[in-house]
Amino acid sequence: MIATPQIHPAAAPPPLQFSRFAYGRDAPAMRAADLDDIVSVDVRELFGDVEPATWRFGDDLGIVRAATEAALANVDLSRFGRDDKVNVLCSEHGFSMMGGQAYAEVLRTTRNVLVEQAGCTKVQLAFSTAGSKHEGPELIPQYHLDEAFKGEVFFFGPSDRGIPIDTDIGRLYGVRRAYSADRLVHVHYDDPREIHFHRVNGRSLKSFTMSYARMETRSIFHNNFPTRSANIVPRAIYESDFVQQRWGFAVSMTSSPDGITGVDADVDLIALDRRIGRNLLRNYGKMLRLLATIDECFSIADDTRWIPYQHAGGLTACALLDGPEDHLDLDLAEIQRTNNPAVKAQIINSAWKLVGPRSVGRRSA
Amino acid sequence: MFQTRAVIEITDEKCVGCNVCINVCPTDALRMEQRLAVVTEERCTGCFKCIEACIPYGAISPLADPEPRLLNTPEDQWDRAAVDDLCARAYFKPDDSICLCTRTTAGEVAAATDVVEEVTMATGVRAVCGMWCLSPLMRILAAAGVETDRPAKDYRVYPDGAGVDVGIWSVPDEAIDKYPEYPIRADRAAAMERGLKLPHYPSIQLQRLATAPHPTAPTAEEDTP
Repeated sequence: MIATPQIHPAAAPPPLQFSRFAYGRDAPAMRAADLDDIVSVDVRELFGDVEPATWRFGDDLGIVRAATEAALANVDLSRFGRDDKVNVLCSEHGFSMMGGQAYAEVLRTTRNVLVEQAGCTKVQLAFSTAGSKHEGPELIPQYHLDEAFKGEVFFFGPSDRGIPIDTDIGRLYGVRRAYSADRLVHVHYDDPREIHFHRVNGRSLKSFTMSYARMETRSIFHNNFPTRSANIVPRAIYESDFVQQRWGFAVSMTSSPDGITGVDADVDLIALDRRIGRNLLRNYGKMLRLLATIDECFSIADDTRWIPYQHAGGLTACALLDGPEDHLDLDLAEIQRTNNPAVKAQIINSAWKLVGPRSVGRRSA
Repeated sequence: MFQTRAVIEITDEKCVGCNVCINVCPTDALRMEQRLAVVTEERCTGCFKCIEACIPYGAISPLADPEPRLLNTPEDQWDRAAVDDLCARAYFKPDDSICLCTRTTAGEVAAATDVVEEVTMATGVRAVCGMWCLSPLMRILAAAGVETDRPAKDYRVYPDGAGVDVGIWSVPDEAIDKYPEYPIRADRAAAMERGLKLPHYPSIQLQRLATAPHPTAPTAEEDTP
């Protein structure tokens, strides 16, 4: 449904902060929004049926807190014992949505509900880093998560010590510390990254391979299965006796191209995933098709992280760069990723993982 | 193939002798001497895993490589027939790029089979992030009969979970039927018929299974969706 699109002044993105893992040292002095003649369009003026945001960067976080509490009110907490060690599992990617404050609030509120309503006394944040373990020491204090979790916070990465998980498809490996708990709480977001890539077929499960797993299992996910069926790997981990014996519940922040739309939660991750998949298709499918109609453009990526993970209107730059074919077509056995000829240039306004030349020292003579 | 650009240096005063850096090094470039980490610079590929593992101690820093090295096994040194056969048994085409970071090919790894750390030194595979390429590398080594034995405390690689035995070629029928959302049979049939091209990643070539089935994989005839 096309509404009446207007041209608006450039939207102000959340400010960039110091980030060693993103920039080596300093954030870029200038961003795309600072360029002359840059304008914005409102996605709800393009598509009136896109779900309206309930929270955007700068809004009162009480909205997110209330949504999280409401979602968790429907979750059975009886599996949690007072002395259970509870790992609240989170993924760095969640902080890439609209400045990250909303995801941090979901984490804080989930912890508070576990303490105040389930009576848990041993709740810790298990923070999965994505590209560099430098993310942990930067982001945890940036979002005051160390204070919220009373110092009970740790971060981990894919090279950390593993633990075998025997599944329906064979032996896989998780990160030992992530799973070292009596109860696991999976706190994620609907993850519109890569919806053009994994066909919205298990988006909420991906963390079990790409956040909480050792590098061996991540490599299996990407190399031993095509994208259409790869999410059987995290599904098998989630369904394993190992995880089910420790399982608590899942929480997911939801979004549309307009912003954060709410919070959902469920003991049954598969049921939650199906609701999220439905919302992703409704809210983002039309945006994917819109990007495919662009005749000519320049793309500027000036948030942190690599191109596939830089959001704009919820979608990542790759949804534009990967060409105009229908990546949601489940009848395609393989996706032929081609460079979108409409993109005349891609400007990357950041570095990642200490690769900037200023971050590498030189031996003195 | 990979050209090194960086190495690491260790600040002894900050090293606590915890051994964690050794357990993430893909090339055995680190060792402990008198409870201090020591780097063999000519074996360091500048992957920076040890730098991350050393948080919060910060004893390891990146350094521009004073003598950049080319990690490469040139094609004119390959036994072409053996390389082709090994790649087919690992479900690759020899020119498949199996390492997202270094673009090292399956053929190059097949030509350089050795213990996993030495293959990195010979080809550059695993020299950067080391994550996406691990399963392809281990598949080729397993097809070549190279065993990777590691003591329980060593977590550089877990050979029993490294992707040799878990792939679309090996998913049991019960699991395929249990999780029908994931079209394993259809994808497997496509991979057997023509090979499956994966975005960014090496293709999956299962044509060989039609004549030499994997123990847990059905034949092409049984697997037609």
